[in-house]
Amino acid sequence: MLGVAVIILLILTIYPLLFSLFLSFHKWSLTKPGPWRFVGLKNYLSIIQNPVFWRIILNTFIFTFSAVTLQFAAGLGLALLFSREIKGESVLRSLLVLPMMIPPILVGLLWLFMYKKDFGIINNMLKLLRIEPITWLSKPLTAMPAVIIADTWQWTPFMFLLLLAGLRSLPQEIYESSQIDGASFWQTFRYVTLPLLKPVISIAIIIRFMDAFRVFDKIFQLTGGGPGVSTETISLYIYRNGFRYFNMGYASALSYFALIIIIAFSMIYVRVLRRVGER
Amino acid sequence: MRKWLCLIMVVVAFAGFGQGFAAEKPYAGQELKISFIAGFPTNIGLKTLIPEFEKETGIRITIIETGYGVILEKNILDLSAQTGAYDVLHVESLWFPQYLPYLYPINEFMDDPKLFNAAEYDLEDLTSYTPLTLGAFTRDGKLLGLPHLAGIPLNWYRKDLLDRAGLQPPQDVDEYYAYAKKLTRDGVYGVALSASRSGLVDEWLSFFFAYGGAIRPRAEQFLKTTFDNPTALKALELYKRLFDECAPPESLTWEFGEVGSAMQRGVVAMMWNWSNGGSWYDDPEVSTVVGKVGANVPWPGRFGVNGLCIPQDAPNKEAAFEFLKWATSKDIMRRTTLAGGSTPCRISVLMDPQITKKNWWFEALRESGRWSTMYLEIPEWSSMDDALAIEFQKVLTTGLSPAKALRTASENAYKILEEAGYFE
Repeated sequence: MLGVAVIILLILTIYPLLFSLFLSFHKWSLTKPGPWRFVGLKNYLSIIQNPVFWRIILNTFIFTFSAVTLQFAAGLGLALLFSREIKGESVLRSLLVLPMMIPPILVGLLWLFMYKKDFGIINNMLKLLRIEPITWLSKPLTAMPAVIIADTWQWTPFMFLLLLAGLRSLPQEIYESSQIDGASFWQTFRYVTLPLLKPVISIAIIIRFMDAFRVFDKIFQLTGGGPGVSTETISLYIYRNGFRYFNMGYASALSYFALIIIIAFSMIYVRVLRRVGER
Repeated sequence: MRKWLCLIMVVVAFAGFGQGFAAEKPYAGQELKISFIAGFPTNIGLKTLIPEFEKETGIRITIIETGYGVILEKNILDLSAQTGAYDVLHVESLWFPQYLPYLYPINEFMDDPKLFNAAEYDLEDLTSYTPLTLGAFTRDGKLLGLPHLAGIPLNWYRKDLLDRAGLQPPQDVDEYYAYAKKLTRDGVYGVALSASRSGLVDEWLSFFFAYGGAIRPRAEQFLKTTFDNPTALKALELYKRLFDECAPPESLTWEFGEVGSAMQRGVVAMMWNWSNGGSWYDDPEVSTVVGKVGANVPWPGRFGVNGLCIPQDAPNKEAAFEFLKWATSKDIMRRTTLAGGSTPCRISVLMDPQITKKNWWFEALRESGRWSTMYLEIPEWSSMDDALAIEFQKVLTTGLSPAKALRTASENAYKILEEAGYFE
């Protein structure tokens, strides 16, 4: 039985990983006849020398850090609100998690219409406030924030649910003690809640970070990576090279580059957490 | 004994009838899976006629429609894995070089008088519109598809707005800009642009050709100065002026569908857009400018032709050729156009009085066929297009100088060809 499981794991996970690693050292185009050609590290060197790639990595980190920070802040705020008993809590909670249930590509489509200058709801609301409508997706300065907002709308409920579960699992006696000691809300939050919630926060952030780093659907739908490359992220770039230009070797090398970056970040993150924990 | 003789005669009679039936419908019982690009009006018209083909031939047709934005990768992945998923492909000429390794030449079918009646099919009816109809699907003497629908960009304009301003339709690019400036007023923009990353270069190239620019036909002839020269600079500067002074700012995210929609909504006075959407502007259900739109051909556009092709791994190639022949025949192309298709590629259909009465833009479409052109037909064109578009969008959004953008874009385009081995 274990043998069957291992074989399935090998076929579905290990083999594709090893094959794409093998491919990353080759030049292979799906739209040109002929077998793949070994090129050594040429694909990786091309990536390093490509200024567009580094701009895209920067975009990916800007998107990821901004989106995860906003989602954490909003999620924590909502979780604190819901940590006490409120009327109609179950209905409100169900409504809050709805965005998470919508497929990301549809979220992109929804926000694409909402951002439309002539008939989008956001610009209509701005008009009511006598603010000039904004062409959200046509300017580099507003396109990235627009995408971040759409992602935040969808994934804040995820943070909210995790943090709420964490808050509700905290022992109440500590809060009663801090109340007796006369601690203010802010002091309780800073010296009691946050430290106790740290394990849940770490997990929530790392999960969301890995997800946000791989963002594809929303950006594909909203901006296609434009204007220029101002909202292009690594997943979209890999997709473009693999399935628009059909350069499979180069796209495989890009995937491994992205994997190295995310592993490196995760290792740094875990080390920093450990050090903070020791302190 | 008599009973047995009668039984044998009945069996022989049925067998004879079956053979005769099979001779009439040699592909009866076979199924053809056809991949169509979704949304083309011509396909909508053709689908209404398919039951007729099924009845005539006994072939069962299954149509698989896929969106324009994703059909290329879907099909190429299936073709490279040799899944035999399709018998007929709907191939846009721009993607033809990428499909090329997977297509089956149909010369053997066309050379067989039992399979192809050249006089009845009338190839000249296609090539007299423009030789590019067949040229787009021919490589090294092999014909790899039959043209199914054609589209060329035209200048579409609001007749009422031009009349009000005392203007005639522009006859060249400079008039286009001058009129666009004049018509940008009262909440209406002079032009709509498809300035998205996937549409911008196509549109810019029209201005490049209009100013006398040219691209040599072979990739080996591409130079770093092909797009870095005074003509290219003039075209890009014009594009920037149009974007800054005459076009809706959200044009930066538009492709031809949104550009057409802007005309339907009455927010633009002119647009350089594909002829495929000709019927959109006269549809009272979706257009606010019914009867107010005209079209002319002030400069050459790209000849966009879609063809029906047979993949190498198609399980039923002869039956597929029957479909190709039928769908691109004179009669069916005429009837498809009457049923709502808007871009035939046969001159007889483009000149049909009954059709041209309704599809008034066919006069401009006929004229444009005379001087339309095609670009470098290589698999790397998508990445070159993208390399240009990235820099051109920076010109529109970040104030990058057009000269610098052209230099960087040309170097990047040249590098793509270099890495692909064209200069070895």
